[in-house]
This record gives sequence, C-alpha cells and structure tokens, in this order.
Amino acid sequence: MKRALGTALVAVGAALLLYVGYRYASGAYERDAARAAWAALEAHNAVAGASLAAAPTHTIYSAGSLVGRLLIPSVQLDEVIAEGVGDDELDAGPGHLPGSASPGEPGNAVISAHRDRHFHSLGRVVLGDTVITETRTARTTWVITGRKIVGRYQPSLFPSTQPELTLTTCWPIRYVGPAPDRLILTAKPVAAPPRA
Amino acid sequence: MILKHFPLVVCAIAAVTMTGTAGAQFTAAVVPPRTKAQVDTIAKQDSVRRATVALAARVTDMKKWVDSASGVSIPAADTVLAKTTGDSARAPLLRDSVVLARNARISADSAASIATVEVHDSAGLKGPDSAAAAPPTSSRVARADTNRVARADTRKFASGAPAPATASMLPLLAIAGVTTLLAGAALRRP
Repeated sequence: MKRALGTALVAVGAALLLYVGYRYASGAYERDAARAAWAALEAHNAVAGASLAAAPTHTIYSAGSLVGRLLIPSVQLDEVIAEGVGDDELDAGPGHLPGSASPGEPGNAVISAHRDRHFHSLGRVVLGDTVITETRTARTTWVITGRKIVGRYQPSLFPSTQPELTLTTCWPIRYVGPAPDRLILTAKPVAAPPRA
Repeated sequence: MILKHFPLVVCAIAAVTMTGTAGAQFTAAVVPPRTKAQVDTIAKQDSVRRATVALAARVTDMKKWVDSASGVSIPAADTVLAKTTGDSARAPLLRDSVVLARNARISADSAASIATVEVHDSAGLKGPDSAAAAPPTSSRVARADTNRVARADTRKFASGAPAPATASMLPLLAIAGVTTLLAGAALRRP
C-alpha cells in the first residue's frame, strides 16, 4: 500500500515536472522562432530602406505578430516582442498590450512578460537605466523614470499624449504561485533617430 | 550512508538555495486590498439603498392601504390647494378640504420622515426617489468601472486598467512536482 502510494506520487510528480518542462521548452522554442523571424524582418527592412518618416502615427498589429525588439543593456535583456498578452504570446516572449501605442509612437506603449522567464531580470532595473526598443519603423532609446510596485488589481496603466514606455511583470520576482503584486517601470524617450 | 540521509540532504540543499525564494513569499510591500474594500463598500451602500427604498415603498403602500381601508382618499397636494383656495362659502367642501389637507399633511410628513431615514441610513445617499431615479454620480461610476476593469484580466489597453496578468503557475507546479516526486520516492523506499 505504502509502495503503491509512493509510485502514484512519483508518477504525479513526474507528470507535473514533464508539463512544466514542456511549457518552458515550448516557450524557448517559440522565443527562438520569434528571434529568427525578427532577424529576417530586420534584414528585409534594411534592404527596403524603411524610415521613420514613412511610418504611420499609430501602428496596429495583429495578434501574435512581431512588434519589435526590447533591449536593456544593464541587465543583458534582449527579447523580441509579440503582439498580445495571452498565455501563448507570453510563453514566447514579452507581449505588447493591444490598444496601447507602438513603442516610439505618441502614447503609452505597454510591454508585459512573465517574471520567471523573459522579465526575470526586470527587478534589477533601476531608475536611470537605458532601454532600447526597435520596431519596424523606429529605434527609440528610453530612460527609466519611474519604478513602483502595485497590487494586481490596482489601476496602473494610463494613456499619454507623449511617447512613453511601460514595462510590467509580476512581483515579487521569486514568488511561488500567482504573485500578488505587479512591478511597473515607466520610461521616457531620450532620442528617437529614424532607422536607416 | 548518503541514501540513508537522502531526504535530510535534500532538505538542507533546499534550505540553502531557496532562502531568497522563501523570503520573497513574505512581501515587504503588502498592498492593502483597497479595490476589494471599495467593492464591498459600494455593494453595502447599494444593498442599504435597496433596502431603504423597498422599506419606503412598503411603508407608502401600507399607508395607502390603511387610508383606503378607512375610506379616506388622498388626492394630490395641488388638488388640495386648489380646493382650499376655492369658494370658502361652500361649507361641506371646506370641511372636506380641511380633512383632505390634513391627510395630505400627514402624507407629506410621512414621506419626509421616510426621506430622513433614507438619508441617515444610506450614509450620504440622497432620498429614496432621487437615489432610485437619479443616475449615479460620476465618481461612483468611475469607481464601479475601475472595479469592473480590475476584476477582469487586462487583455487590451484601457485608461486606469491594472497591469496584465503575468502571474505564472509554472514555478509553483515545478516545486509541487519536485516535492511530490521526493515524497513518492521516500515512500517507495523499503
């Protein structure tokens, strides 16, 4: 009886670990695929000679499509952003909140990701750190100007007429289970040179 | 020897490596559940308002029923005024108008008392009619909207929306899996 219970527990534990491993592995695979697709897009843009002047004032992306690239040099973060904040999008990488501005365009651009994956180092980002976003039409350098921790239901996203970047993830970073709070980082652009 | 103390070794390793994780479970910034409190307050106010409006309606109906049972009709106040300011030489009408005016006064007094109770009990809300008929104030609408938005996962940008739900169950599942696996292994040991 004891041995049978042990076998059952081992089976359940193994199944849980397999599921978690599968989710992490599929997320890593999707992330690599997104990186490759973004690299191809960048190459295409370089050949086509896209410029900021030709960019629309408000870009709308379809769900799951590639929005751009996010770099935070101080914590060696380099991720490709997809449109949407559903489970599938957040598995692959940081997600751009639909309805928010595209990074670099007028308005508040909101980017979210899981704390145990792509934004695991976001907790180490401090005020004054540099953030770089690259979209199909603009490369924008931002500086972190705000950092706050709010409750999961506390209103924290607000529209803006000026370009603004908001990065969100769950808090505490190493919390086990659904984290009760959210880390909100806001950034302002310091330069937005057109892409060559 | 190592196998004999395997669970102890695992516990020791876990205690050393997961100190930070364990510390994170006790958040320094414990945000009070303000949103929940607002929801509760609004729900309480609404329930009090509904109860008092229902009470007012019930009391009004009861008074109508008592008046109708006693055979006295209660016309509207303007009708009473029109009759009382009419020909005062007509004695029966004047008598009737006195009775009707008294009934109207009683009716108005009871309505006023109900309104007073309403204001007192509903903690700042207006009278029963105005509370029932008037649209809620902008601040209440904003709070209700905020709470509605707050309860749902943010999947699209909206002003005042909470941050998207990025909470992941995977770390918890991983720890549960490891724990279950170790417990099972311990049970299977002869």
